[in-house]
Amino acid sequence: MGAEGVTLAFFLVVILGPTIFVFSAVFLSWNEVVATVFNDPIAGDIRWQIMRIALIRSFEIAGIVTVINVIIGLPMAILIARYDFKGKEILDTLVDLPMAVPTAALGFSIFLFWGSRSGISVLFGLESGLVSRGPLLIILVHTAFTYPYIVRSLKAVILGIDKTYEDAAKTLGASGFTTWRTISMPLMKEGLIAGAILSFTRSLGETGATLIVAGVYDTAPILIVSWRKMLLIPATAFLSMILVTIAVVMLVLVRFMARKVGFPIEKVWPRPEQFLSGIWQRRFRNSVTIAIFLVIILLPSLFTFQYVALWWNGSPATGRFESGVFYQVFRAPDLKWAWLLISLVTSLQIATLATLINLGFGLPMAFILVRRKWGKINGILDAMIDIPLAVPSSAIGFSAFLFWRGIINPGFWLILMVHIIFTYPYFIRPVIAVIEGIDPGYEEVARTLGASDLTTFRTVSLRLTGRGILAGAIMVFTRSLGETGATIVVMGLSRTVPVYIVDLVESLALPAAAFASIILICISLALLLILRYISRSAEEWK
Amino acid sequence: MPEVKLSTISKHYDEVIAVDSVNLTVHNGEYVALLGPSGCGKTTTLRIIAGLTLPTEGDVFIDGKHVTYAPPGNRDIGFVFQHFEIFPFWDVWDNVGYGPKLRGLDEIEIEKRVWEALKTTKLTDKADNLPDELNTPELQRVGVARALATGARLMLFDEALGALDPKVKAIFQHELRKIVKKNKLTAIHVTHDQQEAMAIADRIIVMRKGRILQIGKPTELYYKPNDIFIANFLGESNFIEGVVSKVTETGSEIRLRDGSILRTDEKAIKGGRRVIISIRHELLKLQPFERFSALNFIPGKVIGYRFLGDRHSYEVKLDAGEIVGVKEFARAPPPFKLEDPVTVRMDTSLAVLFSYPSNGLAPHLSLE
Repeated sequence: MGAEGVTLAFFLVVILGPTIFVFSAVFLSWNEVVATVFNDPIAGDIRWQIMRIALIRSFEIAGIVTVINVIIGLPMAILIARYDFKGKEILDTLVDLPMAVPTAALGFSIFLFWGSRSGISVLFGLESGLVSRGPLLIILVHTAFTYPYIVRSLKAVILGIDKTYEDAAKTLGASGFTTWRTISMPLMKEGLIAGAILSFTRSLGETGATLIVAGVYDTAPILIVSWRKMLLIPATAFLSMILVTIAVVMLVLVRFMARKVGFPIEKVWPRPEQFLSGIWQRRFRNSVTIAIFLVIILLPSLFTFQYVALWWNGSPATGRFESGVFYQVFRAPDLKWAWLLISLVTSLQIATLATLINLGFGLPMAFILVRRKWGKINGILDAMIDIPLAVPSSAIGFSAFLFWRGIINPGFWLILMVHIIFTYPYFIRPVIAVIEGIDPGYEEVARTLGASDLTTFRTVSLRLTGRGILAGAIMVFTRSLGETGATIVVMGLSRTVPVYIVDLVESLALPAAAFASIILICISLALLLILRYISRSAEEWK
Repeated sequence: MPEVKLSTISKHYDEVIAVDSVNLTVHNGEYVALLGPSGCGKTTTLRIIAGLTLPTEGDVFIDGKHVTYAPPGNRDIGFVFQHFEIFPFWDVWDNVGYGPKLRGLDEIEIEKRVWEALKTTKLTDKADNLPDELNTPELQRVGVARALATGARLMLFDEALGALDPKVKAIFQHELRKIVKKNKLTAIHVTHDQQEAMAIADRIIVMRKGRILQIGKPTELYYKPNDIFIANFLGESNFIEGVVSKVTETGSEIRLRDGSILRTDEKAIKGGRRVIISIRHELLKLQPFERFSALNFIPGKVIGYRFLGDRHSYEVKLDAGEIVGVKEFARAPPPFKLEDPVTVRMDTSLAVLFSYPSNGLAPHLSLE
């Protein structure tokens, strides 16, 4: 029980406890909450009004983003999973790109593309940005960074579909389109729902990119950050609690509902669907899919590079050297390069430590979840793992801040504790998937050959999970590297790179922000390529 | 009426040639088995007929129409898959009704067809069940019902009985054939099980390494195989090496390596040739060793024995060197023990002569 006890204790005390601690904090100081949120002597219930508007806006944005993503992501997933063409590997990697890039850097890049004078406006000869900061720009940014989540999960289920079901439908007389609608879609229902939830929750909880592009509009996570900065602790706690509650309720509902959702598969329209299955119609669909991906997702995400190149030696408009990236970062008296370096070191330290700690405590947890048969407890634990995934990270950060108050002060170590929490599911999920895929026969063979349980675990099980562990570890590293919201809430005087980028954008030091962004993008890009290399060789290895 | 014609069909996957210029005609109302070891191209051939795989070369005609590149839905076929592929999210009724629905039929006609198909396959009491509530034989029936309900006249079975237990399989072979014959359908049945092919089909097409080796009625293939591989693949045969010592008006005599002589009714082309005599296990008989030698009486020693219930199965090492299998009806406990010297009496009226292959015997006996 020793090792298992420690593993479970870690989960309860370090991961779950801090995440939901906010409930007790709210109930313990309920009077204060009422006083600041509903009954402020000066502001009245204005904070409640602000909060309500921000919550509704957050949900609207997440909903719209998810719908858009399903519409533009499904054809892309089909394209990657089912077609063979030149450059498919590259397209596949590029689709994943926005997931790896820290959202603050991504948001800034997209802001430059849509919202600044140097972006797409150049094409139309406009003096200002095409899309100003606000809900529309938030939707564009959120669409970009949640797109890979949808495409990835859909791609995985499409690859997992037993193609002979489709063959069967075809021999019964179904056209390509009818087969997709009536046979493949129902088979991929759960993947579709899982991808949609992931996209929804990621959009709902995003802070870094949103801070950059929101302008005067607040979303719920941004409100947490700004109220926390104003030290409105009870109000922030109340808002965090609402977000945690919604996240948990949503998780439960979706788990429950996924089985009940039906697709319109009762009727078939042989003629029009036959028309839609034509080769030209398919080519048209694929071209549009790629075009949308390029214009909405890829170009905006990588636009910083163009910006930095253009602004390197000075402003392209005035030619002033002092406005250029090089001067701003390396020559200006406020030593931005030094701050950037310090925040980069902090970011890397935290990401490394979070990865190692999750490796140490998450790995046994994954094995416990798959291999231990505790009946109902397994299901409950399994669902609780996902809570940090569904709760907006700034709410997690704030809840953990309350949990550790008086023990760990805001700063480096509290950032680390928070990063461990929200990256935990990112490590455990892929590892669980790999463990579930292992044929327990191998372990039984090792035992019959005389290996003890520990030896079996070390020599056989670990070897078989190796690549899943590596993939999970890299996910943790990139997520930690890219986090903004949770960090801001607990950072004290420390700075990580994404937060530093937000600071720079807020102080209108755009060239420096762009430079910091491409540093972060390059690191994430390298990690993404390693991740892809691992998962590819894992497939070959199977 | 459906008649299937394949003309020089080939299918290449990169370097691998799965099907190698196959020509084939299946007549209307015929039940044909495509038989061969796994990887011989039989399933690929069936999928090409169905339109699930496109051939690299050649043409497919169904009912006289050129359909090589037509989608499966335009070929009017019923296909039964090895693992049935019953759509998991629909009950039996909806699974069977999917085909008629895709043909744009009205509700009443759909209902009529589904009911008819369920009746034929004895599934009427399972109409509301979901696939995960059915056992394997029931799923198999649903697969057949689903194919029948399309109204197609051409049935394609891809190892459709492969997932069933041997006893159940035997019953289904009978039923499947009955359904096809009663409804005057044409059927092409892919299998690697030679017994199944013989039990179920009017004609058998034996394939190996992408090519058709022989087409014929089960008895033709069994008694007159044109290839050592077929003699070995269908039933159980012994292969004995010898040299043609005499060719007469009525047959030929073969001298084995120990000097004993086998006479067959088959005429060898000319004397002095090295040949292989293929003779089935059940055409050999054991009797106690006799010192004198005679035609078709070959001396040997029992080296192995298995009891098969209805048969005794012996392994005998001939003095000539070959080890042969002998099968006899088991009416009493086995009369011979291991190490007993015996004389093997060979009934050569149904033996087949092959000239000795230039690349040796082994590649022709390999089951791939």
